[in-house]
Amino acid sequence: MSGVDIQRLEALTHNYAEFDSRKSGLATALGGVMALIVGLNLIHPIRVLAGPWWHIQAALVFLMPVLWLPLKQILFRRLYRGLGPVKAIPDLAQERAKWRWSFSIAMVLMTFQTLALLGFVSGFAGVLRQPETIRLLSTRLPGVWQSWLWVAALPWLYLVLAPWWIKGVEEARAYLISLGPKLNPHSVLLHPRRRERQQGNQGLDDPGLHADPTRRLRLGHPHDSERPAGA
Amino acid sequence: MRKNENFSKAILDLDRMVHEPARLAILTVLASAEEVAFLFLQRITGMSKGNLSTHTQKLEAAGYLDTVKAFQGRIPVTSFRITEDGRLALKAYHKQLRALLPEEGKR
Repeated sequence: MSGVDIQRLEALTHNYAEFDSRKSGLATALGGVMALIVGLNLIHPIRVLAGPWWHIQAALVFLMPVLWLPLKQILFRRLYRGLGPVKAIPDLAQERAKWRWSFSIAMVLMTFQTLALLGFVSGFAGVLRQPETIRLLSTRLPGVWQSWLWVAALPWLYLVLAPWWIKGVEEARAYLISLGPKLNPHSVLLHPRRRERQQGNQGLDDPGLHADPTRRLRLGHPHDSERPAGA
Repeated sequence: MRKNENFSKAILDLDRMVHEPARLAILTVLASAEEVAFLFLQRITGMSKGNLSTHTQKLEAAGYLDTVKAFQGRIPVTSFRITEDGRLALKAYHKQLRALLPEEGKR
């Protein structure tokens, strides 16, 4: 070993360590594809799986951001450690930025969750005010309750691993973008006109999509809209 | 004449453990990260396994680095960490060099 280019060695090590900690590359591209699938699925749901399996498909679509986190880790371990692990020196500023982003994601999700719960309460109050729908409560409530458990649980699922498995600000941004389409059903609460339109047009078989539980009570069985008239 | 004597004395005062080019490269890499795998260190410094092992053992004996042995799945991974003494020695070495070569230090 003759001359030592100190600056080059420092820069190479620093860059590799940073790359090692962020685990970017193919995983980020995959996250983008997943977000696209989720977005397209919300605009025009395609049933790949039929019958009860449809619920599994819907669950997979909703859990995609959460699935992305471990997938990113697996891809990284298989593809990006050709020269072995190199741990970066902890950067306090970056760490603080990461936690700020995690907090922002939490706040956005919690806001939508609160709105969703308020929607549930107001919808339920609406049911109680109408005598003709009260009698349907006992039969429909378990289904409605199941749907609303999704609404209540999803933000927690999205949040629980995020601060530990998201390694940088770029990843936090990518994660927030991939979560964006999931908030679309909650946005029904913010647009009364859209809510009316959805009440009239949309089927009720997407778990977690029920912004207003009275829809289920009024429209009946989730698959009614698919049956031919009079069947 | 007096100036030359001081220069020679300063050269002799340099920490030999750090001044050797291979060890200087190792310490420089280790100081740029928290923990570095053996394979990465080998590739980036361009040394052979045996050569790298010899130098890391010397640096460990001097208390300038720690060896960390772990398993990644079933594969054993050897990594190194610079110690606080190692960091201080490298810093002192850079300071001495800058004092010896003021023009180089400004670049």
